[in-house]
Amino acid sequence: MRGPGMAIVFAVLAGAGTAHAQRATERYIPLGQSPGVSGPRTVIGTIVAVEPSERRIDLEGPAGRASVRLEESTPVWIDRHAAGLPSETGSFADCQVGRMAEVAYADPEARQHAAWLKLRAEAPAP
Amino acid sequence: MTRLTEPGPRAADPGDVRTGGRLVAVADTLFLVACGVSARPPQDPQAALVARGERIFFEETFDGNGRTCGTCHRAEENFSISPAFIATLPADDPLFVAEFQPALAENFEKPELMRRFGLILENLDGFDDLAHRFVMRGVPHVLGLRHSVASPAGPRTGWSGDGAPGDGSLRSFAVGAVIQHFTKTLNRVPGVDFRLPTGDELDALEAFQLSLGPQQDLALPLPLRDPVARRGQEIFLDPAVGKCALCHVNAGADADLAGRVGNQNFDTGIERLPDRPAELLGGSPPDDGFGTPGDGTFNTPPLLEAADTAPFFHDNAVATLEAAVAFYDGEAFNSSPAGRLLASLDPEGASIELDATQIAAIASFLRVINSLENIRSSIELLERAADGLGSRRAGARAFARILADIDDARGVLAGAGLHPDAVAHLKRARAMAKEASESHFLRGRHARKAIGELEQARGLMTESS
Repeated sequence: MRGPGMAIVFAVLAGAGTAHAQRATERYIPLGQSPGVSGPRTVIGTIVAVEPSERRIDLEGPAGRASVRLEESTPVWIDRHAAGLPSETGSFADCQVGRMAEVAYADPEARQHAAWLKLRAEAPAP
Repeated sequence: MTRLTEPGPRAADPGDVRTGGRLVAVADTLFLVACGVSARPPQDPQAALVARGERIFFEETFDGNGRTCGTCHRAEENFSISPAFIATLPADDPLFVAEFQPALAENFEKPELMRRFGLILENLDGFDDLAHRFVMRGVPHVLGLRHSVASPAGPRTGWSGDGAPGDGSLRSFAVGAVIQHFTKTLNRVPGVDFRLPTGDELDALEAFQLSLGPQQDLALPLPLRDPVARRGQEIFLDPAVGKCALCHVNAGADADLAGRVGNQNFDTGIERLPDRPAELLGGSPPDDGFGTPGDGTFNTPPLLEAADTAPFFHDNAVATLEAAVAFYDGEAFNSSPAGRLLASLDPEGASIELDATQIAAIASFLRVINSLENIRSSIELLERAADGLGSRRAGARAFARILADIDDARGVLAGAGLHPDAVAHLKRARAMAKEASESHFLRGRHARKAIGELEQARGLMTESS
């Protein structure tokens, strides 16, 4: 029984290495302020290129240029707190050149895929 | 090991001066009125950080709806909150903001479930459909977090192990808590409905929470004197009978399955229990646990403070310790992924089979170790009280914890008829601690007498203190 038992143990614990951070309240945290994540595990910058067919965006920021891919399931939030408004759920279509964005990497080592993306709301028209 | 205060040079104890009782009482009153504080502030940086974290935990509303961390994690309730305690609170307590703040009247809490079962509403799967996407969970205590959140997979916080935003750490937990529970409106706009904690505040809150409860796990087996508790310990540790220690090594939160694998999540079948109280009342949707969508697993809590933190499990499904132990003898657990895992590790393929006397024995063991932890905690706080406890509010909170711990130490033993002799000492310790709380000049003397009674109680429960 020990052999199959070990297999089940490993199967049960297989998800133990998955991300353990909570996504739900992340949407309300302003761009650049996610504790323990903003900075070391994100890139903040202006969107300089968008490639819809690959769901990929390029950002240019203080740390240089970064290119990251968004999956269909990657959450996109629009940070409107500076205007006193609640955050909104966005989509890839909201990723437009010139907008300020923060991308959290799904794997900070590989820096290929986004875990989530926050967009700063457009400034209200004067 | 973190200490709330480092032992500094002791001032001469005014309580040792032989004085008339009335004169001392008058002097106490005059002294407290004149000072406004009960003692000197902590000197070393770590103690100061912990003291700041304590103040933030209990007093900081983050410009929100009036709640603090201590609104739900009550010092006198083992940093949790029970329906019985909730019933004693005034109607304007911030816990009940959904009942008196119109902006929070819908989809912020379920007042009936809060009052009846101590359940708090959480939007762990997102805020896009507040009316339908929520779960109802009890308030986990925050004792012993130093080791219980540690996991090879990273820190595990909250009932499903994914309670914190950001990097998922204990330090980040308060950010999510403020957004979920402190907001003035359901818009949840930082700078409008609340302010988010600063980095310094997160550091202080983390330090305070890590300072609470035991700083290390027990080393089982303990030399227990009571034969029922001692047998309960044997069953608890036996991988062929109780199997409890497979997921609760040393009655903590670490698992030992294919070797020590740290603090883990499991699907133990709680959600498949029949006749769950919150379901009977209606309005409690299923809880899918870890992740979005969830995988049905929940995080393993430590057991050292289980006996005095009823009700049990993430949804407060059962109200008594014995029922919580009996859950593992039932169909819901033994047909769950976690139950099947334990059966697969058994040479006979057996699941957990316990008779009533064995369930009672395991519960007795948990009651005794809980009482011993309460005694340890009370002694630590009383020793600190003799040296001074910082601000008056901090002192009041410390004595509230001391008295509650001693009450719990008595209660968990008396609840199963355990150690009546120790219970008598605990009763005297409680009286001495109360005297200490009400005196300044004689505080040290009363505190030391209380410690003496506590040590005698402990000596009656274990063969070595």
